[in-house]
Amino acid sequence: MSGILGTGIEEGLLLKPVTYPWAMELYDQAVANTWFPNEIQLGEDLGDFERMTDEERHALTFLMSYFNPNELLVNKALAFGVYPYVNAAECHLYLAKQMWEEANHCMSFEYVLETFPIDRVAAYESHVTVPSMAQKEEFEVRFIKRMTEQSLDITTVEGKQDFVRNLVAYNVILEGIWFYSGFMVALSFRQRNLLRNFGSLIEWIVRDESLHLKFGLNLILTVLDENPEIATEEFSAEIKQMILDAVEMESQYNRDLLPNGILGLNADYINQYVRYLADRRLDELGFGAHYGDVNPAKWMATANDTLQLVNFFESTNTSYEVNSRA
Amino acid sequence: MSCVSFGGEGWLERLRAAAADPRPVAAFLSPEVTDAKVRRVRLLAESHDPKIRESAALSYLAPPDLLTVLAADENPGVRCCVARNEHTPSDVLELLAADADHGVRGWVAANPVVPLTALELLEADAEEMVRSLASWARGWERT
Repeated sequence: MSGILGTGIEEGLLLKPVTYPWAMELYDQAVANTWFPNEIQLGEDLGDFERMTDEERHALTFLMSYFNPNELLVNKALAFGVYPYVNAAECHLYLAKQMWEEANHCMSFEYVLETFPIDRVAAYESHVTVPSMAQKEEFEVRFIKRMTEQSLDITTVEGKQDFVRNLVAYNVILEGIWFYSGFMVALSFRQRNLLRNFGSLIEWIVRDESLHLKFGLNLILTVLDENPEIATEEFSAEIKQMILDAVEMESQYNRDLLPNGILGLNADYINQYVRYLADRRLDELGFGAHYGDVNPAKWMATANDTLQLVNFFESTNTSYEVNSRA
Repeated sequence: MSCVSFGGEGWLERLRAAAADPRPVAAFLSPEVTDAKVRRVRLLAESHDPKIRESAALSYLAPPDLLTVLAADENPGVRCCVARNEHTPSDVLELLAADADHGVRGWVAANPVVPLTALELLEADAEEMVRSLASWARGWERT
């Protein structure tokens, strides 16, 4: 086997000897983490939902609107843009588990939509009516589509660069920045003693997502290590710019969807968290931090992107602005 | 506006029709809890990898005796997961409320089923973070 990339159907069919132990370790962890949405009794949160303000319900509605289709979009990125071009059996094992997890997350959000009286039409309307939402989806779809084109040749420098672009788009940006921004808003309900079971559901999802991130980053770094010729200065600058553009898109999206602030959060607060996340991702890719923002949501402080308790609810009594305009 | 397919009259019509679907997602129960599943969690708890033991400690299927064993795990991350598990028995949570690791004690405070006796102890904890968590936990409506 020449490396982690390849398209041969006849190759990569033997697991042992394992070439990439990190993929095997992540597979083991992912399987150990297996859970089902109905293990959590969401119905117990209904009383909270009824007591919530219209703005809080709106926040929950647009979170579901954003997450549900995008979990399935990740699966398309994996199915069309990653799995066909990776030739290591241990990576295929992990990707198969990840795809089930994305499906499980989709079912989890369906469970939320069915449990709470949420208007689905209103929930999905933002995909059509909010330009910044559409812009984020166009960004993702562009990179996934490229991976389905007949002209893509993974043996060439250009093909490998396309592979990395898609990985950065769906893994680093969609899963590693945009999703986490949503997780923070989702968990802020619990911070206010609301929807604790919903919070547990989100925690299970974050635990899965932290492994997705590790796998994606390891895959990118392995491809770069095995194919140093693709890491030109121009390509590196392009990747970094993708992440910076993604931060701008997310900032606009948060301004559109949280114009008046909710849950004690406003768009400025969330966008600072987005920049902090982007710095972490840039650092993990070897670029170093760009923004230099500190994490405003210390209760989302992470050592490895799983939830840690260090300062978890620190901001409970802090004075970040409520209902202030972004 | 969106590049992905959303909305439209056809979708709305199908959505209205689906409202009468007698098989909502919520009706799909989690797979039955069998002895084999519990045995699997016990095996996970024996892993040399603390990350795998953490999964066992977080599992809703972990039986009380196993959670008691994991509550004494040498790795604080594993003990944190026992403290987070809403199915951890009260007496184990009370034990963990006196854990040497303040992170473990913090997760006990954040556990929605924390016994009031443990919460009172944690409200007087030496660590400010634990005290603030215990104070926050008082905000939950308890049945």
